[in-house]
Amino acid sequence: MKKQNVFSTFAKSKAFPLVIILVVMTIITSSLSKGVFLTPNNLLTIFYGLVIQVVFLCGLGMILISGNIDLSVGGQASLCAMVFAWMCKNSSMGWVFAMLIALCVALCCGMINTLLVNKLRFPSFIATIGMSSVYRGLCSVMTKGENIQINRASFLAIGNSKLFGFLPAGFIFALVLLIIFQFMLSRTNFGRGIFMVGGNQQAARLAGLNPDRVRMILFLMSSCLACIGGLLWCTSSKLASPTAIIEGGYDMQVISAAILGGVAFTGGAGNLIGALVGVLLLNIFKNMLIVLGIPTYWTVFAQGFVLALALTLDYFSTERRRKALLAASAAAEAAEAAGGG
Amino acid sequence: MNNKGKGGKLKAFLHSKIFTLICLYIGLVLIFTIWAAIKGATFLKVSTFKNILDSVTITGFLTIGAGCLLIAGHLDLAQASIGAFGGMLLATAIKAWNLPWFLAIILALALCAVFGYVNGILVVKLHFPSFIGTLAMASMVKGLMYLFASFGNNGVAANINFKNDAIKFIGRGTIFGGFPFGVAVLIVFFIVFGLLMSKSAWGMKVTLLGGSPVAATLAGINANSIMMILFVLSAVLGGVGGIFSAARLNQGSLLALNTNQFTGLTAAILGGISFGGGVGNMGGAFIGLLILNTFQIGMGIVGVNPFWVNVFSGVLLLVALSFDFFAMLRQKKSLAH
Repeated sequence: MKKQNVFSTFAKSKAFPLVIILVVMTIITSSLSKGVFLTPNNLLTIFYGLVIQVVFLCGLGMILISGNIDLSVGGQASLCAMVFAWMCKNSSMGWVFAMLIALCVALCCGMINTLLVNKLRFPSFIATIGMSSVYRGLCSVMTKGENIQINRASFLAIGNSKLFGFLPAGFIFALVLLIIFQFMLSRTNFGRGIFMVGGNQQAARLAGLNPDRVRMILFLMSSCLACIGGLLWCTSSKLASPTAIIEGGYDMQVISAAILGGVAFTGGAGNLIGALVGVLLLNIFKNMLIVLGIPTYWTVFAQGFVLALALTLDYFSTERRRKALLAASAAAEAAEAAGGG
Repeated sequence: MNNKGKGGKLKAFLHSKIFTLICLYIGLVLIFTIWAAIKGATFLKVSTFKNILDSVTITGFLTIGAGCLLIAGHLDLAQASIGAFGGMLLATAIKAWNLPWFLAIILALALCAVFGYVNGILVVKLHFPSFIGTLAMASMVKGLMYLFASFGNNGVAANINFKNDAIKFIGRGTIFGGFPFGVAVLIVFFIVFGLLMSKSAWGMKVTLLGGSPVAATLAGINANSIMMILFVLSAVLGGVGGIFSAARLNQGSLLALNTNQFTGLTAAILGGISFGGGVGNMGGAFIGLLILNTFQIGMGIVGVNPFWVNVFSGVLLLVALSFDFFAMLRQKKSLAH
């Protein structure tokens, strides 16, 4: 009885059609690619690419649900990675300590974003776009545009270790993070606060919530997660680059994936598991383009196209919900009028 | 009587935003003059201002488009990508398809207009917030730019060099004995759009729309068609900027306008066009543009590490926004009194 219930809620959720698309796409790709797609090597490549996106997703997903946006995640991640690598190279301190310093940098970035949005009341997208270009510039200023090799063997070893000999530890770590944040989002008071602020800020304030405080915590959290994502990226590439993370466009991809996975762009609805399905879908799609030998510039095109597609779907589902609500309230009114008459 | 009227006009000018901006610009020039003198270089010389005008040429067109759109309360982050696409298409059309130069330009601008139209559909018909809709468009247009680059280069997406005398004149030619052609075109564009925005009925409608979309719609203004025109305009002006950039380098470059995604927007906000829409004019935007470019060239003359320029472009955008924020605050206070 209980099991059927779980299944029927799943079948009704926004993620359900995505899972079907995911399965269909996997089947198509693996049949078209003549066995290249489903090799362990290719799957591992996909999982490695996913790590940074899943970590970004935890922070960005929640920020989107609260009705804000953070377009500086990529910039913060590179800045933290650069600071970390610079510390490791130019001092003899332990890498754990360097990591803490990188986290402090992330917190400063998050605080600046918060101040711009909460105190100066900039719309969050323009504040974070501006800061993103600042962070990006700082990265190139640090080394005049050069990469920094990471010279701590133990750091790289931990980051590249594999559980049971085949599961990449970074990916498992990212998944655990996602589950923790999903739990926080759906089961705690703070999580419900995020939904309220995203759904209707005025109502949230009247209900005794402080939207500014919620926003601050979310921005700080997103910055810390950006730092973690940046460091995980370092472990797999063994260097810190001032441009690679930003030019990878991970934040845009994560935003598209989250909206595709049912997070409402205007805030107030969605969950991280659906968003994770969106991320998986996007990456398998990207891998499909590569495996099928389609020129890379189509990937750039597809990136924008998928975002536009996701937004269009989001628009139509919101519109449907709005119409259903209108119809329901009209029906209720009619019933009331009939009862009164 | 006449005298009094003149005095009133002067007073109004002294209180206007333009006057503040001009003062700001003079202050900036003074700072750089002193700073450069300390560093042992000279800022106040003809070649500096020639460089500034040169750098203004390309971004000026972006600023006009972004400014008009911003007055109506929207923004277009795809403008620079569309411009780069326009330049690349020009190069491909001349090099690979052997089109005459004017057909190539018309084709490039027409395709840019199509992208602007798509932007308009995303924002007006599907109600995307304009920043995310145009951000998606930016990525798509960039992909298409690589595609067209590969058409002109036997399947490899790379920069395309081309030779054409007419295009070379557009990029580097001079008229009236030494006045750069590009700057002349830009000034004509600024005057035309300045008059259009502040003197014509259409410009009035745009401003009204930016101030209060609901009131404008109730007043019988067709908001959708105006927004569509503005998005197409912004894209076409981006294309014009891209063509000038390609003409100057004689090259369709993959990195053209790469750093200019926010230049038009920043210049417009610096020039007193309110971020929420409804306030501002082209004269201010032009001075905003001058401030921005003088700042960048000045930094080069005093010998600041060029990597800092990236940092400052973000900081300037935020500073411009803060000015806008404080102006709004003051306005609100004076309204309350």
